[in-house]
Amino acid sequence: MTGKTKNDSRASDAWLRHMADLEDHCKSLAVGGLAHELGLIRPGPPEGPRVFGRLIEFARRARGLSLERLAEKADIDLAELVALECDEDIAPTPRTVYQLAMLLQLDTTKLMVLAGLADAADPDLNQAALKFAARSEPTAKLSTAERVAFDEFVKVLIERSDRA
Amino acid sequence: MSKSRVNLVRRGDGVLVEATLVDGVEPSDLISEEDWQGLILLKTAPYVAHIEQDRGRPLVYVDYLEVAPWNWRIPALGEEGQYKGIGSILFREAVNLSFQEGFHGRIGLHALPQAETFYENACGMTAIGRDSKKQNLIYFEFSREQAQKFLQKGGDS
Repeated sequence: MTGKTKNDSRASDAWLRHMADLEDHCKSLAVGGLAHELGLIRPGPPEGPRVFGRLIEFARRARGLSLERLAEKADIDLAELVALECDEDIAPTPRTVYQLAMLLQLDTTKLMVLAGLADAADPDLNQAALKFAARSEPTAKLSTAERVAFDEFVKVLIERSDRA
Repeated sequence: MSKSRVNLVRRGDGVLVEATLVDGVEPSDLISEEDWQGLILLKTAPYVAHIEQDRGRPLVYVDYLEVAPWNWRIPALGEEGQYKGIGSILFREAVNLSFQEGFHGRIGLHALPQAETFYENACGMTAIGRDSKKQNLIYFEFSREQAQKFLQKGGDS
């Protein structure tokens, strides 16, 4: 910024309150110019956290676990688990991903990619994630088609970690 | 370095709390109760406008803007944050600088995907398009008319 004389007026109280309310309805205000220059913007998988949340939800339902029970078994925060399954744009913490991977016996690295916490360098994983997202809809009970989609996706996660 | 006083809205009771905007060489901090509450980094060169009516004219580029994590509101996690309105105050500072530099309020920035709603809807910027040189982030601009409206009335609901 420069040291030039300011000639603006301070924001009025009404302006500030109006903008603060608008701001509250937005998820973020983050700007990406500097982050891009520093190489901090990671190209996540096409569906990002949405697929991760869906996968965890399916894995939980396939095992007949309630949200509370899964949070307890994985030793993770219940509020975060609920947010992961219900809010498409919430990214989990690395610890949560690790705990879930251990409990569900899935590859930690692949889950980190799905959660948007690591680079997506595996086109097969992206493809599998897209297929899973396209074929699954959150419902109370896994349909046969959903069960097939879930099983296929889990198979990719496990198979690729075995080969790595 | 200069300092100016601005207000922030405290969550819960809505009381306006005075804060200090520290206008350094770069970046600028918004400080309240001795803690920084947000940060903005602005560049005045060599960026020019892409929007049709101002094409080729200089603008202020917002290189970085972030609200301190303890002010983030995350309903799904029950997090409410301490103050609100921080991003708007910082963004207003960018518009002010543009006027001071003789750029008539012209602003440019690349928004991260989760922030597109704020710049397009809450601030009223124009989405120019995806920038393949910046990992396909959407590039937004304020024309001089949009900037003037923002300073006077804020964005649309």
